[in-house]
Amino acid sequence: MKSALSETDLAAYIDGELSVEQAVCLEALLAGDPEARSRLDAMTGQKQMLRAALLTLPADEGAPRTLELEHRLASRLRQREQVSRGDWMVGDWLRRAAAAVLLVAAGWGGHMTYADLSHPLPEYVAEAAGAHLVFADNPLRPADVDPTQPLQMATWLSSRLGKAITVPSLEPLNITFVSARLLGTKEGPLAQVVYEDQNRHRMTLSIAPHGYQGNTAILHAERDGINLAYWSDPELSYVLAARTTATQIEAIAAEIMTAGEDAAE
Amino acid sequence: MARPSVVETLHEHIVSLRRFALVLTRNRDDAEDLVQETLTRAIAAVDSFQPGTDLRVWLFRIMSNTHVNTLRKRQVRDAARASLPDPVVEATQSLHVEVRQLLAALDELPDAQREAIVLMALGDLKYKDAAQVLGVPLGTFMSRIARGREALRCAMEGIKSIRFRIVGGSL
Repeated sequence: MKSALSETDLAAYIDGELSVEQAVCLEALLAGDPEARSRLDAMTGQKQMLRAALLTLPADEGAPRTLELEHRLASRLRQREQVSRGDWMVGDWLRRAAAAVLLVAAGWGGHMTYADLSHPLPEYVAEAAGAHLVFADNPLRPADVDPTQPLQMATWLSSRLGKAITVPSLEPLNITFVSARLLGTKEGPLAQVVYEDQNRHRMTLSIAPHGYQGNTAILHAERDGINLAYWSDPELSYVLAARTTATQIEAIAAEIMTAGEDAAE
Repeated sequence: MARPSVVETLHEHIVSLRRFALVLTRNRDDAEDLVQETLTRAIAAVDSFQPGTDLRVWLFRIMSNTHVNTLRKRQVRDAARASLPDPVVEATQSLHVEVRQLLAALDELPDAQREAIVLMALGDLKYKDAAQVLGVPLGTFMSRIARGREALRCAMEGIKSIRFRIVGGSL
């Protein structure tokens, strides 16, 4: 009797291409078709045997030039990932970015070490007081300062923070400046710069003066799906936040840090 | 959760590429050349890689295209060579006789079927990805893998039955 099961069915079963329902159906047919069952077993065994044989091919080591090419490709792929789209925060990014800033603010100012950032205290009363100090006697933003103009914002934010800040350009990474704003935290004013990539996924850079020695390397934290990279120079602390990968956020942070160092020289 | 960078998996994929290249070229030096050419093209075409997609599929596809182009250039220089790929023989000397028979049978298959079968054995790819790697429609790929598997199975059955007859013949 000709088997109802084609070679294509059997191959698809072996290669895991069938849905659960299809696989169950095929197994039911196999139960009544010992000839097809034995063909299936032979082919399954051959696939496994072939895989085992291929894995014994000595392929771990290549020529030095291959390794060099591998490193070059790795570096290009990293750059590609940095500017990649698709996994930055969307939708409720504002709420999450605000949470991230609060988390950061709780550890801001040198009273706490960076390590404490992973266990912030929700000091909303202190935050309210800080916001009052920043905004009560000042406008949220002077009417003549355009939040979408990075240079104007840098000048105004510098005056409010009491330290000169720059709004780094991330155009080389295909990340564009959207706007900047001033936030009031319990530790004082904090500048927040909003960027977006080509898919309009947002990233924020928060900058605030600090009261400790500074000059820390880039550290990484993850909270509620937001990846944070934070570091400091002698006068300012920085926090970069986005819904992206640890690798990307650190790579972008490194770019900003390097740009800052170049500008300082 | 943060997605790990694809770069972390790159080396592992290159090892797989080298294995695939050994089977495609049947020669260790040609295989290394093919890997290098593949990486060179990948570097030049890095913008065509979509982060979040399967890096391995992208790399294998570049290798498959590169191999096809190289073959065209050489006008199937070694097409007449019917022996097993040397590196495969070397590496599998110690393996069970049945494995060597299987590799010999694999070597008798048309290139298109052999590549499909090796790709699936190496990669555990989905059919649609494997079809993409080889640049053929899904249906074509499915037909190649099914026919190739069946041909291998028949070849191995033939070998077994011969062996069985010899044993039986001593009675």
